[in-house]
Amino acid sequence: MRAGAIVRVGGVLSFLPTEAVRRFMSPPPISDVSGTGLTMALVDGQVLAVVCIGERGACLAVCHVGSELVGLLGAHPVDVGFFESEGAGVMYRGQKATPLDVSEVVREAVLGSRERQEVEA
Amino acid sequence: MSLTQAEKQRLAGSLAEAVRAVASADASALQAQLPASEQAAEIEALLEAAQRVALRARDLRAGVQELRDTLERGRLSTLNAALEGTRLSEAAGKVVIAMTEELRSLLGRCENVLDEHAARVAELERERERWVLTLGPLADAARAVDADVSSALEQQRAGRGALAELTHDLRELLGVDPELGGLMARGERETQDLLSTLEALEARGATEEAEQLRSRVTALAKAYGPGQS
Repeated sequence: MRAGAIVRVGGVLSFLPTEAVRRFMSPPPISDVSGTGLTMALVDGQVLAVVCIGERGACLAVCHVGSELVGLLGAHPVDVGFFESEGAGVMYRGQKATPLDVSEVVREAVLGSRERQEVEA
Repeated sequence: MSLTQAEKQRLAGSLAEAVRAVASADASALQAQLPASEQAAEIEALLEAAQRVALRARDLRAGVQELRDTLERGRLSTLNAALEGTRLSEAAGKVVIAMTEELRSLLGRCENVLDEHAARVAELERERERWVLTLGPLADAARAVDADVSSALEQQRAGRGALAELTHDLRELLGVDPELGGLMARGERETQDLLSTLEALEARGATEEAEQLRSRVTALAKAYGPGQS
């Protein structure tokens, strides 16, 4: 059994292990970081990088990446609990939920931002 | 052009008839004005009520949205509580998760009821729009009728004034009394009617009844003739 949250990203079920997610919250005001395509938000007095991975909804998933916190927009929580392991992911109500690698999501967002800056330069 | 006394009197009689006709039309218009004004006011009141319903519907929609947001925050809180449960051992965590699932299920039911309310509010709003679409032209028509009746009354008032002036002038210039003319005209009409009745009786062979009527008229003429009181 694996502990964590099932989230829906663009209609696909994904699994966020407990240690990767801190909490879910209503999205605070999100600000663009000029010229980078990145966004940030103030959460509990702390500025977090916010990455949009799908359709913006009514929830921000605050996740751990190393010792930092990152906000994910577009990961809509479906359920939280202990789920049967299925490879790297889990099974949720007969459906496979693949693991959501937050570090990879952040890395891709940063790469995308750099590419955008280079194109603009 | 000089007129004989009889012509003057006929002219005065016609004028008196015109004054009576205008007075009668005045009374009819006044009678029509009240229901027309009342109808226009009632339709206006209904339109205002529909406007108030729109404001209430807007308040309800805002309330529904606020409740929806609150439910969503509640759902996120239960998810966070469940997340804290997963940080415990599986045995202890499952108890916490079961409790949060129960709460989430209740919140889900609340959300369904809220969706039904929102649908009813939308239905009421559509119904209200249909009222307004129906009442709008009715209000316009009622206002137009009210304005027409008022305008007709105004014109009749002006006509009555003109006729009164004409009556006065006629009395001053020709020395005839329009009221007297009116009475003469009425007498002439009634005499004509009486003659027609006598002819009709005789045509039906009711000679005796015709004779009786003639006698009664003669008796009346004698009783109310000149020199009688």
